[in-house]
Amino acid sequence: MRRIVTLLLALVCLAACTKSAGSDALVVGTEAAFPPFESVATDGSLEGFDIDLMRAFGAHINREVTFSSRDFSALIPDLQAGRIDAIASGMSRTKERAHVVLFSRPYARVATGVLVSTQRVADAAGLEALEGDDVVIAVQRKTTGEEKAETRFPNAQIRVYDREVDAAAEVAAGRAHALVYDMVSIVNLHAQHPETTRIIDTELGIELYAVALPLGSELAPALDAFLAAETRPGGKVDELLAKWLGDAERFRATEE
Amino acid sequence: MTAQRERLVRGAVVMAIIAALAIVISLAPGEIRWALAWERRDLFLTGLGLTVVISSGAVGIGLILGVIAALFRVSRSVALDQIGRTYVEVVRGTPFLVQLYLWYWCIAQALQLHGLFGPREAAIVGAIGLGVFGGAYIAEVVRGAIESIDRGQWEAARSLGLSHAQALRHVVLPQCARRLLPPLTGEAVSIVKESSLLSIIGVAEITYHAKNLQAREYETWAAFICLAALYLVVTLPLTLLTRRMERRLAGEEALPVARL
Amino acid sequence: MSVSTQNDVILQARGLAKRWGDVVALDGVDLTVHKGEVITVIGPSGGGKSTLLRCLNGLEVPDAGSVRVGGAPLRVGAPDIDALRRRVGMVFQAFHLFPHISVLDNLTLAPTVVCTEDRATATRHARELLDRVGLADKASARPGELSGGQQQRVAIARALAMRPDALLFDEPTSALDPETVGEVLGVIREIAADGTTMVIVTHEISFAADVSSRTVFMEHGRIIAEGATQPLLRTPTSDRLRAFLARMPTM
Repeated sequence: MRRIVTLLLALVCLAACTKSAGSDALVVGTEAAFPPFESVATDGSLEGFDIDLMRAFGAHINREVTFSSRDFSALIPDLQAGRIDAIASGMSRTKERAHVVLFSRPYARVATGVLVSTQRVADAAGLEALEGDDVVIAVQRKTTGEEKAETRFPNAQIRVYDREVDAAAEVAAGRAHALVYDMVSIVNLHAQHPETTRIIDTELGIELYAVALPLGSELAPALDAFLAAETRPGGKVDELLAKWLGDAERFRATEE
Repeated sequence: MTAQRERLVRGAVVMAIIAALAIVISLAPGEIRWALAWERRDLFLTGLGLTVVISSGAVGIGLILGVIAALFRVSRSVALDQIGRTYVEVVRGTPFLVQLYLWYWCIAQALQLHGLFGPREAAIVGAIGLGVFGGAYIAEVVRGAIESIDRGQWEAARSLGLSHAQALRHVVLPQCARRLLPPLTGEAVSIVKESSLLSIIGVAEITYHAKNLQAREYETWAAFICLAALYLVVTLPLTLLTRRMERRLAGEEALPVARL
Repeated sequence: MSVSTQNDVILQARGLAKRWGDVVALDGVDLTVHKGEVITVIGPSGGGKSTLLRCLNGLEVPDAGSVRVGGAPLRVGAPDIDALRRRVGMVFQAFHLFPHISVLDNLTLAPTVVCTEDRATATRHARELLDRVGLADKASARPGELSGGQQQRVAIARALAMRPDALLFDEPTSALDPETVGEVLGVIREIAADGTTMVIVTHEISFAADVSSRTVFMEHGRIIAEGATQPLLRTPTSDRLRAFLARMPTM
């Protein structure tokens, strides 16, 4: 018993002692389960488009950047709680989110797509095949895919998963008819399940990815200036789009 | 001779179960890429370490809270008893996942614990929440042990002039301690298992690493089979230890061991 | 006992009443115990003997009536309850030794915990007492290693370790094998001979006749007959006592 108390005290001390280290660093929250935007490499480090982008921004403003991963639905609550200073996690700018966070100018432009189960959906069928009330559509919690699926397929049963992989696995296994998600991921997911899934050749809309900051953040002007300057042929953003998504032209965010 | 035969039967059954699992695994669509899990062995081990550290902290907190709550429940004060009872009922009546959300997004946020703990907030708040969760179960185990002590022990102590607290401290609790060890290790095992939920709030324990592997490589089988095996590495020795202790207690104790 | 004055009253129960639901355990019992007296309480099972004894040191709270220890009222929950209980030792039918500590520690636990004695004094006293009950060689044994008779002798020594003003025995031989009853009764006799004040609830009528100065016969929660032991048992005036004695194997 006494030993356990000692251990506890040691833990608390450890926590208290180490908290000050790097307190000046910019803590970027992300859900490292969204390749190629962010995922955990074999050596445990985070990598992907968003990671490189925020590192470059950190170098630009001369501030150290650290990353912290958690489930996607936990990101905005943790930003509001001050646990993280920014979100870079392939997050689409939406009106609803803009009420609670301050978005930067967009850095990527990604279509929303639909991945269907070949077991459940006929080969030539398009989006209309998903309009029935016996259709099950898998989405990830708190993503724009969830919103899009609800608007576009009001009759379908929307099943919400905490994580992308789980939603995709449901489609691959034929337990859901379709996944509504961003096109970059859908291309990846289809490559993982080439036999059991098919991409529908119609886009549900366009999403603009942006960095989310706390409302009133003083970092916003510097971040916007950085993104505006680097979103051009030869700029850092374009370079990263080419590196991670394979095509700067197609994914460049041109708005604003 | 019969003991040897029993061991033989048990061994055969375990083998059969492992073989059945192997068959299930062989049914996996496509090849299981074990190498992906092997490449991440360092991450898994670090995560396992954090799982053990967090669980140990939680067991410590749970023991303290559990013993206090149990003492409240056997005290003669109605108010203390009700405090203990409310704690146990509230915690045991809600899922740990819900409690974790409350701890992390409501309590820790309201108390501004981020300023105190920094990037370790999630791990520490998670360990505290897990400890409070385990404490409620430990409280019932401890209370059961205290109540399993013969009333005559209390009466003998009180008739000698010991106060309620002295009787508890010198007569009843020491007799509980031995009986408590087996069920308490059981609670420790369940705390280790529940700690997997901390991955949701970004605590880099072992489940977190398995989820990352799955998300990046789309390799669900290797990720979660290895995860399960690693949990067993922690929980099986505890379970075996419990069984051995139970056997030894059963042999040693001349008094009937009360149901716990 | 000779002339009794108010000053040498050790225990005094007045109008004790206790019910368990519909069952009347005590129905207005008065009992006064003087210093040096050995009182035996006899009567059929369920007659209220044990309840009376348990009320005398506060293990049971009577519904009505009062108990005084050396003149001070015994009230469960009052701050002086523990101090008063120390003055009245109790020996239980089922011994209730502390199984997790040695025989010697069973004797020294209470004196040292309630700080009436330092450890050295308590240990010396404990060894004397163990010697007195004939178990000096069992000091380091665990209670579980002893026979029933030995355990009960330790329990008696444990009660004496608190140097009580009076000792209460609740059917001390009822849980024993017949062959060990004698050794326990022998020890009680010796202690009685030393002048210890005692109240003994027992079914051993011949023992009662032998050891006690006064006997109380209880039935249905009331004291039916009471008086000097020898005449009471030899020439019972109460019909019910006579009927009770007729049913007993001895006498």
